[in-house]
Amino acid sequence: MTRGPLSIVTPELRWALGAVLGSLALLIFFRGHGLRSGQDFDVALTVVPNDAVDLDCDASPGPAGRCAYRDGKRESNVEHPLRPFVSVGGELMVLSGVFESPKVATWLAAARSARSHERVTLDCHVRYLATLERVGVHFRNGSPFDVHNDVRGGVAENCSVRASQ
Amino acid sequence: MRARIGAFVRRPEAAVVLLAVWLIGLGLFFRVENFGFPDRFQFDEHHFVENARNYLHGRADQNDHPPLGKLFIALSIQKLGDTAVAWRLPSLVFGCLSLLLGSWAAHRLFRRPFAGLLAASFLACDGFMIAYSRAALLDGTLTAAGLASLLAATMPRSAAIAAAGGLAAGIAMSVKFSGLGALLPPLLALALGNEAPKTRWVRAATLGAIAVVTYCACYMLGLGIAGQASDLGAVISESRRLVEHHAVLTDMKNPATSSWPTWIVPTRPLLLGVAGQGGMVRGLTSLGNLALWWSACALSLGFSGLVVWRGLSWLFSPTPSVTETETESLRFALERFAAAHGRAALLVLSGALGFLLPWVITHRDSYIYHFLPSYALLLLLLAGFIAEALSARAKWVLGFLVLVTLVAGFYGPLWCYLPLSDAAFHQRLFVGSWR
Repeated sequence: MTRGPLSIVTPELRWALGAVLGSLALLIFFRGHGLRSGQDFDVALTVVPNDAVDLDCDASPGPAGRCAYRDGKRESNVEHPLRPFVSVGGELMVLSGVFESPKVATWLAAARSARSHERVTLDCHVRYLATLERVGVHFRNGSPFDVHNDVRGGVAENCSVRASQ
Repeated sequence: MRARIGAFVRRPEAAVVLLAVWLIGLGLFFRVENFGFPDRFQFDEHHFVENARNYLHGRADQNDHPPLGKLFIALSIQKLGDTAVAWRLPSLVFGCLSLLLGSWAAHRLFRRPFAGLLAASFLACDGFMIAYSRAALLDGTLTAAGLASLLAATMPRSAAIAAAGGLAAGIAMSVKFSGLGALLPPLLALALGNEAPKTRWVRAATLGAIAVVTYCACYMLGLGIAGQASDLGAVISESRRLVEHHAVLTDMKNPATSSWPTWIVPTRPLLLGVAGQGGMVRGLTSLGNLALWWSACALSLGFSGLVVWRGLSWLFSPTPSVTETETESLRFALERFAAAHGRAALLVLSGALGFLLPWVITHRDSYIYHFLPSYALLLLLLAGFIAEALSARAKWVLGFLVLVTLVAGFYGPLWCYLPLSDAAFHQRLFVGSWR
């Protein structure tokens, strides 16, 4: 009786092949999933009062909301536009509703009347809506938009100003 | 030919070869995947890249290490442009060179066909080695020089040991002062040689002289490129200034610092970079392959303990004192390894100790990356031990490699900025001080 080709696969080779496949599986499939639309997350941001007018994004409207700009032109009647923020952890995201949040709005009004430029930390509870494949952002009014890919977008449902130490 | 291949494939060693080659391939993938990410500085890169830029503009180096590491980065920027890929390319080159140097050194030291292959696979698939192959930092380059000095120590002729060892040590010292530890393996190799004492002293002095000349030449080159005085007096003066600067860095207040005994655990591996993207986390950790890390540290401690218990003279004429019932014990395996490779193990451990000593005998602020050159050498020791164990304990060796492979697959995303969910990120870095 002739031995088939699989007869060379010894138990040791089977273990080795299993380890190879196992490591591939861990690498490809066991990395978890990103947020699903509607899921909440918490994020810390730092802002200065001027950010309420300086932060803008440029993108087509989508599930995450609307930016104040589209294709380089300012859109009219955009209520609660998405604005770019960089989290304390270094992630760029576009969020609406941050400066409209009651506690942040109170801080902003007080900072403007005092002509303060102090940077504060906001703790925001955000509802994730979608990831924008491509969005232009600028952090100063009038400056060109830098294009970024795969940027998380959502709506801030509750932001508070962290007490300074 | 087919019959021979078929016969080999049926042996347990075939499975070991398969896994070792897979680990090397995986390690190379981890080094190049997302190589230019992020396109901003991570961890301490700014110290070295900005001073590389200074060299390109003929300005003085403001960093507190000798110039050579930054000169490599400057050369890469000059050829490829001022991009993240260019900043990090020298580390990748030296990281890959480390695989070759370490493999060659292990092959020559332990005289087992699998020692070299296993050394390459361990160096390839370890996260600590991978992280420093893809960051514009100096420790990967220093590690390559340390492996080169160990390779020099395996040369058959003492003149070659002196020349190559001196060159490697001089290069190591020109990257960081702690490269002084690279002198130990070739010096020990000369001390253990068979030549007359006078010849050995002459060779040792030659080695030292070549190291010093290499160091001075590299420093002069850097000073000249920076538009500064570049004579021997300037090298001495600059070296003294840097030594005095380092001597006062002793408060251990930086949150990233960790003392050398904690490196075995490790308590504070560094997260070199982390970025959120689209709801996922991308990170680069210097945490090693834990299966290799703990095994290499345990083996080194065990071997060192055996030498301390039995004495050095035992190492060169050991008589394993185990009874028949102990033939399967780890102690027997260790004693058999010491009997077969005592000299080789001493050379490896001398290098590991040489790179560790500055942090043991001074109170200078220490970080886990100071362990990288020592750790690379401990991986070689582990490779030699595993290769020796293969003939008697093939199934244990295979089981160990299976574990190493699975750990590599699990931690791999954190060695090459592959996206992970928050939960998956925390699962892997389950100790708070690891994040």
